[in-house]
Amino acid sequence: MKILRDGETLNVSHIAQLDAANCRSFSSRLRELLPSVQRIDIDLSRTRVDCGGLGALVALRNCARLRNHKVAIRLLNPTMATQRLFTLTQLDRLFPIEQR
Amino acid sequence: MTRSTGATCRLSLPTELEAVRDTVALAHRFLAEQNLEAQDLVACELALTEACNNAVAYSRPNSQNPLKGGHQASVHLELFCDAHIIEMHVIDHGSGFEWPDQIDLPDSSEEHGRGLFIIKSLMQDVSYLRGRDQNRLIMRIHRKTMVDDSPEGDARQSSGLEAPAPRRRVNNTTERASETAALSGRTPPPEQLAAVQQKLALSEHVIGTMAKEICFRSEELAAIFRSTSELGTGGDDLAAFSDRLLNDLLQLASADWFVLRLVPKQERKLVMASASRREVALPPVDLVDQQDSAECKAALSRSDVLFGKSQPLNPADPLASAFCGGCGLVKPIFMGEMLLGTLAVGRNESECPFLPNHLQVIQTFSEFLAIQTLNIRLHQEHLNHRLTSRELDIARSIQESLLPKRFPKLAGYGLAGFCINARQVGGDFFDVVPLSDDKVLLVIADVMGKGVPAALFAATLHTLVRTVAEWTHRPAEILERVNRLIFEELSSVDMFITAQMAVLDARKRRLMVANAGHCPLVLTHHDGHVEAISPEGMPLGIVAEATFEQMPISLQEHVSAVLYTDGLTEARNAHGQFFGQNRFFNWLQQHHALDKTAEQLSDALRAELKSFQGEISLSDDQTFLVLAEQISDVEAQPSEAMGAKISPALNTPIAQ
Repeated sequence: MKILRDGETLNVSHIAQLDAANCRSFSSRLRELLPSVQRIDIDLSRTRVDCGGLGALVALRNCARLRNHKVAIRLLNPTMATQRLFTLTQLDRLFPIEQR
Repeated sequence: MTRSTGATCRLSLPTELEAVRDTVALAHRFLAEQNLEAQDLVACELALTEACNNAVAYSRPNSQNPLKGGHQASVHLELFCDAHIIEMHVIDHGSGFEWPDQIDLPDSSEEHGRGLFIIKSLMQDVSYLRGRDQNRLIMRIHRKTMVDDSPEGDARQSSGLEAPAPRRRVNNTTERASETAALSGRTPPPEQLAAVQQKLALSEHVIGTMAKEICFRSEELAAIFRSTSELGTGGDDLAAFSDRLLNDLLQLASADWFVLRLVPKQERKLVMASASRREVALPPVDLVDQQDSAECKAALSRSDVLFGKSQPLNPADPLASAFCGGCGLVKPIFMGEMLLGTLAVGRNESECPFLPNHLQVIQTFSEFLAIQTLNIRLHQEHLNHRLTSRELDIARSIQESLLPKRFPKLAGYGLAGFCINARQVGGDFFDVVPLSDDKVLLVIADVMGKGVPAALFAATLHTLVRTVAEWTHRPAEILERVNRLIFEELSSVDMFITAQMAVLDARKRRLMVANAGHCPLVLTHHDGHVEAISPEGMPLGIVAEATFEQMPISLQEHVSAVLYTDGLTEARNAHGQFFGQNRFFNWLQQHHALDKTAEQLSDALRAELKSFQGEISLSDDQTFLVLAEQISDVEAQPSEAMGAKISPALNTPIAQ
């Protein structure tokens, strides 16, 4: 996973998996960075996501809201499978999804 | 991985979440080779991922699997694909879970709980079979692609055991052609046959598993029904019940042996109650000193203790000496917070731990044991209670018989007495012993404490006083002799007795009073003046050679005397106030009337006490004896009605 900081935006990319096996480490890494950023862009173009991964993203958002951090989490370029997962679980209403 | 026209693929994955992605990737590759539509391929991959995650989660050590690391089997995938259907089975050997009746999408802020929703949404048909040795999730998609001239035309039947899948669009021409082929005896093409055989094998496997499951559950139910019929029947042969129940358990759990231990009442050790082998006689396990033993650990930790190859029993463990080299578990048996015992169940082979279904049946049976153990204990307690109650009734009758049935006839004086015990029997008593035509000995005593021990001493004292009074009429001497005779018995149990003796000479109108640490004798003179007479003397049973002062009292006209125990002045009302000596003396002052007989005074005092105490139950025995002057024409007639009665503590103390 690659994390780059661009001003107040955090660009997260090169995530091979965001699944039940690694969801905890993913959210704990990003959680630490929450206080210092305004926006997190997560590139999911190469990422295999499952229900555990969805949970990790929800957990990250919950954590930000709980601590009153105004952080916008945006998802970029999800694969067809991931896009379907978000649509199915209606989490596309929670996270803005963009194809670039 | 194997492939054929109607292709099947079997995969295994270890119970680790990290292994899911690679296995699903292999499954994805297999499915892609079956020319699935992109939508179906994505759906299968997503659903399979969730199914595998679930299966791994329920098979992993320290998950909801009760085996807690004792058992770890792989998760298996079986995929079948033909022109019409994609069928995916995910099989695990964990404890499984309850498939919900309704699967809703969780709230968007929930971090968990979307897996089953995803599976259900993506698959057209989902079944979950939770079984004895395995749990099987079956997911199906009916392919959109119509293969009208498919060679696998008659291989479309689902292998599922559940309700038939929604009717698929099928090619009637092909179906009819197949039927015609079957009727005409023509051999179908080999690819078609192979596909049919594969599906048949899969179906047979599922049916076999389910048949075994049904057999197991039916045996389990039969054993449970047998045991249930014995519950609450009041039988008290726990050993016979547990033998029957646990031998059923051995069969159901495929176990070889069991040891049931129980905790005797008020003890801190586990004592063997039953074992599968009659010759096994294990020593008791001390719950304080033998905390290394598996049974003790289970009892103290309130959780199952597993043993086997990876967790062998301590060589010093009593179980190890009887059943070495095997595996099994020790289950603590609790009823609420009360430890009843432990149940150890094992197999002779060390590498064959119990499966979840076995653990479930062991759990169920140990709960039955707990209920029956408690039932039997309560039943025995009930019997003991009834026996004790009967014995107390007898004791009460005996104590009643010790009170005077009638009072001796005395010229110019009348007597009345009252005795009520806080319990069924008590330590208070009074007596009136005739010494001569004109003389009587009035006795009142209070044995320290209440209940049976006090009653036993009261009975002894009663006999001793009557015996000693044969030899002397001096109250102080009676007390001294009685004290010497009873001292050893009293002091050996740290008890004592307070008593008062008064010899009334009716002719000489004289009272000789001696006191052994008892409440004073109360005189009420003709003018209403109340006087407490309390000669020196310590209670009986304190000093072996105690001496007692003796006080002569000349009885003026219209004088009454009351001898009483402290239960009278220490009676309490609803506000916790004592009746007290002042209230008692005031009452005597107010109720002293020249024409009142002893019985009338006694009745009035009882009524006063009852009214003061209200509904409050007695905390101590209450006894008093009234002596009152009686004018000659209403001289006390000896009768049953004038005798004293003893009564257990009731809110309506006595009815004469």
